[in-house]
Amino acid sequence: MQLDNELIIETPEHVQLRFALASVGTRFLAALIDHLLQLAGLIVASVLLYFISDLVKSFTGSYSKWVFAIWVTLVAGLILFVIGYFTVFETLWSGQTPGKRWMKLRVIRDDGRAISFFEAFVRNVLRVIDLLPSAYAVGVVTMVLSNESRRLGDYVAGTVVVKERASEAPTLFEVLEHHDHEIRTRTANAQSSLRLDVRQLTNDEITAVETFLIRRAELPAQTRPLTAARIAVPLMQKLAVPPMANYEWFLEEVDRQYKAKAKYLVD
Amino acid sequence: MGRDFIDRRQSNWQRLEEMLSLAVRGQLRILHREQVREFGRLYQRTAADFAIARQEIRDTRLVNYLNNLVGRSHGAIYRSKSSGFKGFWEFYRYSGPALFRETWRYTFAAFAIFMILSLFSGFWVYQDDNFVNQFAPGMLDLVKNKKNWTDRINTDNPTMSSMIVTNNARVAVYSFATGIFAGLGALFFMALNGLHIGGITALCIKYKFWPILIFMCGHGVFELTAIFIAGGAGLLMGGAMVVPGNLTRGEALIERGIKAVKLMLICLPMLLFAGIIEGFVSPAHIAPVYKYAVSTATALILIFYFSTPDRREKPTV
Repeated sequence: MQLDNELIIETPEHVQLRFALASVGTRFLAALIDHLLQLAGLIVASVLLYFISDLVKSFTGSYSKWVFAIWVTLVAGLILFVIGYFTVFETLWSGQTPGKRWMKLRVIRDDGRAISFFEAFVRNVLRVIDLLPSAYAVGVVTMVLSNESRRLGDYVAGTVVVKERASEAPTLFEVLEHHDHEIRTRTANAQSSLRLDVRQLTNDEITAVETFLIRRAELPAQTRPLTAARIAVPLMQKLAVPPMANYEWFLEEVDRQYKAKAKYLVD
Repeated sequence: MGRDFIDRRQSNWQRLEEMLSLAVRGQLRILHREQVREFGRLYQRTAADFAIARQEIRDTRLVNYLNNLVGRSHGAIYRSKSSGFKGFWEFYRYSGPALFRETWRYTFAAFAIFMILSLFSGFWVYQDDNFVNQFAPGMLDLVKNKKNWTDRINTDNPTMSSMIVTNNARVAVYSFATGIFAGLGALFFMALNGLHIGGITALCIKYKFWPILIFMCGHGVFELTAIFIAGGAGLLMGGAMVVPGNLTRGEALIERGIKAVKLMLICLPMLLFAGIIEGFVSPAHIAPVYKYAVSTATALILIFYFSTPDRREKPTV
């Protein structure tokens, strides 16, 4: 059960890390911001060079060919300037450009490590192809076809773009507060005589139970019992429990007994 | 029970968070030796806690929190070898030439396509002048009237030079990048260049118009070699799509794509020097012998450079 497309990386400690992959839309916006910044940079550079060449003229009496040459290089080599912008930022800010920082995205290697100069260079040289025929059409098509929304440059460089969840992830304090609140709302307790064979449940089933218990306070009063019933009734049949009216209590009991078989929580 | 577990471990997590914020700012370098060890230990403990929390506490917020914490620590600990200035020097000095020798067949293939098309074009142009109009209209009149069009570079050497560099770099980047379409783009650019250069060379020989050939020889060695290497890099990458060998197409593309980009990195300084020569030396009104000398010198430099023995301590490619 997953909402975002996720990249799952197994660390050398055999722990699975999950990264939420960036969607086509956010990446497109990030690229748009970057391209606008490049345009702005080009205009600023042109104006600056204009003043510099005037300044040179006031000293030497003639326009400098060199200043003009720099300007021509910038304009004629626009695509090189674009490649350079992305490569330098992604190398220095380990996988971010101003646009990506704004949209809270980051480029990482597909083994979870930070990217280095080579990866940044490869994925941005191939931007030339992803841009074709216009507005990143090739890039968008490959991203839609790819499981990990990668454009061509990402494939060759072995990189993915992920959502930076640093600001979204809760702080430890929030986690603890919420956890306590959760426990207090439960009415099920260990004195219950109901014995459930929770080992029969699949991971998806127990996830459904947990998700309901966490979100039930936010559900409207009419739909809450209906949702509880829709989750509880199939489970009652599966666990061969006689039908009972208090669905939420049953779900809490399933959750409690499932967690009671934990083995690793005590040192 | 879940709460006991969290209470027992949360001081570890908080300590890891503190060290992580230090480490991210200073890239692990500002930590003392003891702190680095502690950081590693805390990371391992927290990774284990994370696995337990996901399996047994199953609180989505806690799992989310720990995933983030472990993920960021993983990023700080497992880094690729930093490619600082030394890495750059090592690359251009040793791994670059070694890589060229390893992939010379692709460069040679690009050269061969160029040669075949240029012989073809030269042959036809020699038979029939008008063939040159098919790919370079206007050139015929210039050569017939012995007009040296390259002379206009002298009106503004720095600007022309920079335009030449950017234009060549663009051709190189396109020959490389379009190689991803099974090598077809690279083939096209090599063929197009062969057609042009072969045709114009034949035309100049036919009408005994030497200044253009003398103009080309000065920068030609660097420029053409760079274009061949770029085309070869494109073919290398395209080859991964056609014959991936024991790997999947995706894996082959990554492996050879990185090599191909390294080849491109060798091209860039060559194109820069070629552009400077083409902008300042080639059009200059000096005795042709100096231009021949530049041509010979650049050829010798390339031979010496690409035969540099691989003295790296351990292979990093």
